[in-house]
Order: sequence, then structure tokens, then C-alpha cells
Amino acid sequence: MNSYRFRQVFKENIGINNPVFVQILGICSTLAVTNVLRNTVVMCAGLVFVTGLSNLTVSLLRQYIPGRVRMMVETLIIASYVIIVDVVLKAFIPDISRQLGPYVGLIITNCIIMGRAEAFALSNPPGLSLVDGLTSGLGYSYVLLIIAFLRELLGTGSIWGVRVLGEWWINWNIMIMAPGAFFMLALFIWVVKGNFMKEKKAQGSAPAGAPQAVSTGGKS
Amino acid sequence: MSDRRKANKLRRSLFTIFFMFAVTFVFISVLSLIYVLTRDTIRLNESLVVKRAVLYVAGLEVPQSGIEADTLYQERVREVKDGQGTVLYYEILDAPGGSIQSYALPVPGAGLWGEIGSVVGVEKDLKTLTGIEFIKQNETPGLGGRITEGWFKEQFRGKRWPLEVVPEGDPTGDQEFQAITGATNTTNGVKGILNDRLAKAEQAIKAPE
Amino acid sequence: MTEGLFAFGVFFAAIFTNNILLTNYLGMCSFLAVSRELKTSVGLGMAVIFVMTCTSAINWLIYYYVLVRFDIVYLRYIAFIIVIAAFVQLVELVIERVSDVLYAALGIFLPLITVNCAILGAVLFMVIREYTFLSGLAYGAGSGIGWALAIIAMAGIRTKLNIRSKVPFGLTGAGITLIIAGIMALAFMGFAGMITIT
Repeated sequence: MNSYRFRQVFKENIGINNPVFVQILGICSTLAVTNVLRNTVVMCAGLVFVTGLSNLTVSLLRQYIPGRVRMMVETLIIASYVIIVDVVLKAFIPDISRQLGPYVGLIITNCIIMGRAEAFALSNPPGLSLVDGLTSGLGYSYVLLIIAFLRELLGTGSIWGVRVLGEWWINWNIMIMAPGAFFMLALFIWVVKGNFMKEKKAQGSAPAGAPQAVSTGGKS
Repeated sequence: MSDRRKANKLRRSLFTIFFMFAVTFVFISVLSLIYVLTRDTIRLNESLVVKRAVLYVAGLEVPQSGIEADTLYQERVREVKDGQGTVLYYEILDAPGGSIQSYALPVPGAGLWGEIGSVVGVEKDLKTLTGIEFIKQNETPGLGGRITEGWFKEQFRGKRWPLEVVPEGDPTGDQEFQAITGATNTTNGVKGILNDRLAKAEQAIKAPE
Repeated sequence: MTEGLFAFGVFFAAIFTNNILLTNYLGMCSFLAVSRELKTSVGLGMAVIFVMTCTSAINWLIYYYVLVRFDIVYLRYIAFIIVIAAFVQLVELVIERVSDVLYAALGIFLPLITVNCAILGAVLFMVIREYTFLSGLAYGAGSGIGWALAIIAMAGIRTKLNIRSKVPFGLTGAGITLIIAGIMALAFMGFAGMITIT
């Protein structure tokens, strides 16, 4: 196993093939908690853990999984790791666990994890799959951490619960609520796509990840 | 289909079934093991939630560590239960084994989505609040859910019953508390729950059972 | 408050004031991807309503009569997701045999729904809020309708957007959809005053 492959996987998952702003996958489960930075850190840690280990497990078992039950086995594996995260959180950081509520369980349906398992872990050796899982998780995490940072800062004037902006700052309540998250993510995608994806623009291709549905224009 | 192919197909199907069972069994065993190992810690944490709430509403400094919180609780709080073991109210002592300085009342109540479970602390006059803490709520996150924020809870310390609501940011008299902008229902729900509970506080404390 | 009235309140709220997509951010992946076309959005929306309502009911029963009774609540994620996946498979099989028309309309969306976070999300919220069976059912149905409403509205808006507006490159696709979703979420917040609890 040459380290070149590791580095390539790393670069891709963090940048060109980033799950969030390129593939637009898996935002559901974590976007809700991005109004508090601390909670986001915990969620992302959990997600990186699950993605990495489930990729590893699927890859280890890949030669034995019968075709017909492939998705069920993957789901079982992912759900198991999520349960582990949930139980550990409940035992060791209960107040954060209560704040995260059902969103920890929703890591199971996070498209990224299943996506990587199908696209990568089934056809790659365990070591590489583990790295792929971890880096996908990390690529996803840093986007959300930036969003969380901005949301908490603008919405409450504090970071990690510590007030950093003075009394003069009037909280942008909208940042704590749902629309704030949508706008922040859109802003992030706009900045990234507009500035860093000039090559895609030059080729005139549509964004990756979204289905190439034919728009039924005309009659409105 | 030839016999051999039939046999192969059967073997593959059997293997599929066997594999599913084996994998399921392995994973569930591991999970059960982890669960059993952490179950006590989790139960302890859950019981601590109420205890921490009682300490918080009494105005006491709540220790971070679960063990310290529990110790403090044992020293300063006395539970008064009814015949079936349900806690009716809590007596807060001014020192271990000392005399009663204030009370804490468990408060169930209707919010927008379901119960808002809270604990409210009252002085001996049963009309002045020492604090409030929310144990259970499923209000809209970012709106009604903000009742758990520090500023909202802290403002109740020293307020007197009956309570009225003023818009967020307005100055408050000692019988008024600030609403959460955009969460009128939840705020009014909290007001209703508190006023209701405090109206009956005398009965609850003077005449248990 | 009678249980029926509470259940109706939950139903109504799940569609408007606590919309599972616009307030709880669930079901975004398929929402972003499918909302380009109106017809497919309607199909997916219908399928989601059906699956959400039924799986809420089934999972409620499983939660209270199996998981709680045997103290295996910690396995709930596995139980729920398996129920959802199995249900969707079953429905697909049945529809395929029974009705070509129905299959053409709904059938293709069903596999997509299994991974739709909103389905599992609705079940988890239902369990956390400790709803009764009736309220749980109302919540599932309401959430489904709310999600369908959001995606159909979005599809309508995006269709118009394609014809009339020039979206900056950086925002095409997911970006502009998210902004529209944000504005829709703002609009839905306006419904908040409609529900009062006695």
C-alpha cells in the first residue's frame, strides 16, 4: 500500500470531492445542531467515528457479504456504531447528549456513510477504506464547524458559550433558527463554488452529485 | 435447472441467511455488552438531572462532577413523598441537618409540543421564586426551546407570584419576566404553568397526602 | 385537553409550525435533488406521506410493546431502521404485483425513501415526545404532508426560477435551493401564532 493512495484519498475527500459542498450529501443530520459550536464538535466526532469504522468493517467483510442483503448488512453495521456513540454519549456527557436529542440517531441515515460504504469500502482494502471513511467524515465536519462557528457567533455573540462580542452586539436571532442554517450553508457553497470551482465553470458542466434531470421549462 | 445448479443456489441462499444471522448476532452481542457496562452510569446520570435541577433552583452552586452533586444533594435536600413514593416537594436545608431555608416544587405542565417538565424553587413565603429549571421540554428548537437558556431562567430569581409577561428586552418589575421573541405560546405556557403551580403551592406543602 | 384535540394540534403543527424539513432540517438530500421537477416531487411527496404515516404507527407499536417491555430500548435505532427498510421493500413488492398505475407513480421512489432522514427522524421525535398512538399517527401523517408540501412548493418555485431568473454560477443547484428553503422556513415561522394550547 503506497502512501500516495492515502494522500490522494485524503485530498479528494477534503477538497475536490467534499461530501457537503460538492456532493451535497448528508446535511440533514448535523445541520440542526450547528447553532451551538460545542454540540457540533461532538456530533462531528461521532460522525467521523461511525464513517471510519463502518467503512473499515464493510471492507473487512466485503468478500463475504452476499449480494442480496448487501444494503441490510451495511445498515446494520452503521446502526450498530451509531448506537455505540449514543450510549457512550449518554453515559459520559449526558447534558450534551440531551441537547443533541434524536439527531445522534439520525447519523444512521446520513447519506455520506452509506455512500462511502457502497462507493468505496466494498471495493477497497480495509486500511484505505478506514482512511477514506475518516477523511470523508473530516471533510464533512470542517464545513459544518465553520457554519456552526458563524451561527453561534452571530446568533448569540459567544463562542463555545463564552461571550466574545461585547454588549453592543445585538444577536442575530435568525442565526439560531432554521433559516439561518440554510442561508449559511448556501453562502458557504456560493463562496466555494464561485471561487474555487472555476474549472467546472469553464467546462460548463452541472454541479456534481445532483441528478441531471431535464428541466421541464416552457409552460410555467 | 440442473441438480448441481439447484444445489448451488440452495447453498448460496442458506449462506445468505446464515450470514445475516451471524452478523446480527455478533453486532447485537457487542452492543448488549456495551449497554450493560454503561447502564448504571446512564441511570445515575438520569437521576442526577432532577437532583441538579433542585440544587440549581435553590440557588446553590451545582458541582460539575456527578458524585459531588449527589453528595451536596444528600446533605442539603430532603424529599417529602406521598404514600406511593412520588416526591411531592423538596425541602432545602440551610446546612446539613439544619433548618428549612426554601422549597422546590416539581412542576409538570403543558407546552406547545408536550410536557414541559420543570422544577421551581420558592422561598418560605411560597410566593417568591428562588429559581427555575427545565428538565423536560420538546419545544421548537431555536424558539420555544430557548427557555433552557441561562438568561431566561436566571431572570426568575427573586420574582414574585403572580407573574406577568413583558416583551423581550423590556425592563421588568418584580412580578414580570421577559418573553422569548417569536415563542409567544411557549412563554405563555410557562407563565400559566408557574402561576398555576404557585397558586397551589400552599396546599402542596402544608398538607402532603 | 382531550386527546383527539391534542392529536389534531400535533397534526396541524407538524405541517406548518414544526415542519420536519423547514424547522427540523430533515429529509434534505432528496429534497435538494428531486425538487427540480414538479412531477417527480409530487410523486416522491405522496410516497413519503404514505411511508411516514405507516412506519410511525408500526414503530410506535414496536417501541412500546417490544423494546420497552423487554428493556432493549438501546437497540431502537436498529429496530426502527429495519422496520422502515422492510416496510418499504414490502410495499414495493406489493405495489409491483398489484397495480401498474400505482407502481408507475410511486414505486420508483420507494428505495429513495429508506435513506430519507425524515422518516427515521419522525419516528425518533415521536418517541422522544412520548406521544400516544393517536398523536404519533397524527404526527407521522402531518410530518409527511409537511415534507411533501415543502418539496412541491420548492419544485414549483425552482421551475419558475429556471425560466425567469439568472442565478449566479456559485449558487446554481444546491445553493439557490437552500436560500429558497431558508426563505420558506422564515415564511412558515409566521404560522407560529395559529396554535394555542388551552
